[in-house]
Amino acid sequence: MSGAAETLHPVPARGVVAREALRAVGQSVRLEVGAVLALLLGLLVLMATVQPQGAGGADYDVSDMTWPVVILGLFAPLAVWKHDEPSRRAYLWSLPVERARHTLAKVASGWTMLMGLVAAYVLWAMTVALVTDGNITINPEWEAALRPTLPPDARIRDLTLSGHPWLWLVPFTAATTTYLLGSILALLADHPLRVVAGAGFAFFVAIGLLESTGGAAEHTADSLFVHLVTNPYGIVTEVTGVVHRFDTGPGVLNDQPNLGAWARATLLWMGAGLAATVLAARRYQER
Amino acid sequence: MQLAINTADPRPIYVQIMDEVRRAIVLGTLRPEDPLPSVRQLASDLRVNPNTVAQAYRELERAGVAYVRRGQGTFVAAAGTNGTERRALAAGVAERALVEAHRNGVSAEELIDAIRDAARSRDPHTLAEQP
Amino acid sequence: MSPVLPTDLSTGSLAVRTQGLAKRFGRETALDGVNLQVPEGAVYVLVGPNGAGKSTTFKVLMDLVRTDEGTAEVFGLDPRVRGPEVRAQIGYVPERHDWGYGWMRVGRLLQHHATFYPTWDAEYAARLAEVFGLKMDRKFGSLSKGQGRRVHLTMALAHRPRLLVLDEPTDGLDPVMLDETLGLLMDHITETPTTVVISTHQVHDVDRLADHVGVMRDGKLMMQVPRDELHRKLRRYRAEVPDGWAGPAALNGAVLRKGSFGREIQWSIWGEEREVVQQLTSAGATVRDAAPLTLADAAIALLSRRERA
Repeated sequence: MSGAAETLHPVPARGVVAREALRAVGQSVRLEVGAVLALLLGLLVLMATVQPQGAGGADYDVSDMTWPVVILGLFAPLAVWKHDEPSRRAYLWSLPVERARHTLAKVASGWTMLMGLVAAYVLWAMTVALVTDGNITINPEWEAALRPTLPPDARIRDLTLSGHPWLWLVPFTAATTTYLLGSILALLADHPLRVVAGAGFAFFVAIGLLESTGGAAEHTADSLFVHLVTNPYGIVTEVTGVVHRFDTGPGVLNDQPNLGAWARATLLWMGAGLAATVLAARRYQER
Repeated sequence: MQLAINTADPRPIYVQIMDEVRRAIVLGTLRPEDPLPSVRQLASDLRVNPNTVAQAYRELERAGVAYVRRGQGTFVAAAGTNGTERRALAAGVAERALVEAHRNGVSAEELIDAIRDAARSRDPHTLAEQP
Repeated sequence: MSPVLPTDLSTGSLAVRTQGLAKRFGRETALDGVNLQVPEGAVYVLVGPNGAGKSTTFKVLMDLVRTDEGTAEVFGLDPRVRGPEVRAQIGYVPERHDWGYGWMRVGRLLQHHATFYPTWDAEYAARLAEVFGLKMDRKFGSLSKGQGRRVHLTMALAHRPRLLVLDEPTDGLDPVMLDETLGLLMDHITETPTTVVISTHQVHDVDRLADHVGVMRDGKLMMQVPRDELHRKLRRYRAEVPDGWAGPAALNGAVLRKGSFGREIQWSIWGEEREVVQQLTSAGATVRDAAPLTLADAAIALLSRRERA
């Protein structure tokens, strides 16, 4: 047995595995990527040709713009793992590669593709705004709030790029966060789609039930929703860069892009997502 | 060279290979200094485990029927072609016939008589047509 | 259970050694104390009906299944601890036919597989592909059973692994392709020093290959033995016996299969021929014949044996 080690066949180098994972994932999702790109291109052509003259153009609010990529990020893992769903992962697991590392290589490969799509999307949004002579804004209300601090004829586009350039990062971090959350499901659940639908449904049913009971329970529901969703550490802050505050009175400008809050929320959600993904990859044991 | 191997034969496969080589020598289809097929070739042709072929060749070598020329393969030995092989082959046939006779409750004497009778009534040129 | 059947090979260097593997899936017992011992360089054929635990045993070697009890070693390495290294030594053909990516073309799948094996021999892979008549441009998922099997065999052989673990490799092959495949396999093991473990329920397919034989049933490895020993010790005895003959008590447990025709018995018995004949004779039987069994007949004798109360 001692002599066996000398003649053992080697395992593949990490770089080779990572490159092949990227290549294989890229090939396996090429249809989906193509569909998204075709959709964007089609919309662009449509908007450029159909947009009536003098209608003010298509305005794009950077923070509201993140929602499509948030959805995309959540469902992208399904595409990445569609050929390696848990019941059929035997091929992947029989390769001479450490499984947690291989799993993370696939997650990273899918993420790379996703970031490409998000970049394409941001470019598309800017192109649409430019082509249709619309504004790339942050948020209409902010414009009113920020206007006094700007030269009279300044367009918000200037403000966006100079005053809050970090907002351009938001689509990327937002998509990354939901991608990680989706990856956890794809790794652990036999039917990730049902889990997403079920969890979302259960969350709102629970909130609704708690609210309908009134009193202390309603308060609990409110604070649960606020904490998970809209408070400075909530997911909305993470994916929009904006802190929504409902506790101030009406007529007050509540929504503000807030770099500090966004950075903290992003760190929290992305960090938790990454940690959970690594755990999910490590935890996957053979049955 | 194509050897006939049969898994339904009670003899182990390596013995069958040895017997086939002996038979070829006795019939003269293999002569002294003729090369035997390589272990790999024979294993591949017969779909037989190469270890089995190697075992057959080892036994043939030990019996003096074949010898190994280093780096060149296995060859038929001159000693293998004298009368000994013929006798060894005949002994094998006789042994199998005896077992068969015993299974059928036929004694050795009865068998020998029956063989003589059969040989007398048989023309060797019509061998293939005999049942 | 009879104590006579050997289950310990106790030879020198073992490529595979498992000890007391036990696995339950829910209420089903898949493995029950399996001590698999595959000597280095052997062609070990594991025989047994479907569901006997052959595939599960192989999956343990690949660390695709974790057992409840017992240990496994492949070239001295524990698959649970050093899985990637263990799998790098193994050319694996699994039981299932959809193993691999159906969306890939055959050529791409081979290329994908090759990247994981630094020892992949591209020239050899091309040769195998040619002999097997692989259609490189076809989607792997669109192939027939037999075609897919040939792709699997190419994937398993082309990195020239030290251990081939072939789970029903001949399943789905037509007779001509089966014959070609066996020839290739023999070529392969003469060219590359390899240990081979093959599971099959078609014993006849691999009869000429085996030099070690294991028999599994109901999650138990009932016997494992060198082929020579099986050939020597398991024989079918034909003997004339008196009326109402019950057989010598000393042979209890060694008789695997009984049949009779008139006053002639036909028993498959495990043991040294001389001793068995002596025991039969001293019990009053006249032994007419003691013939070795083909591997297929031996398997039937061993597997059809029912434990008597």
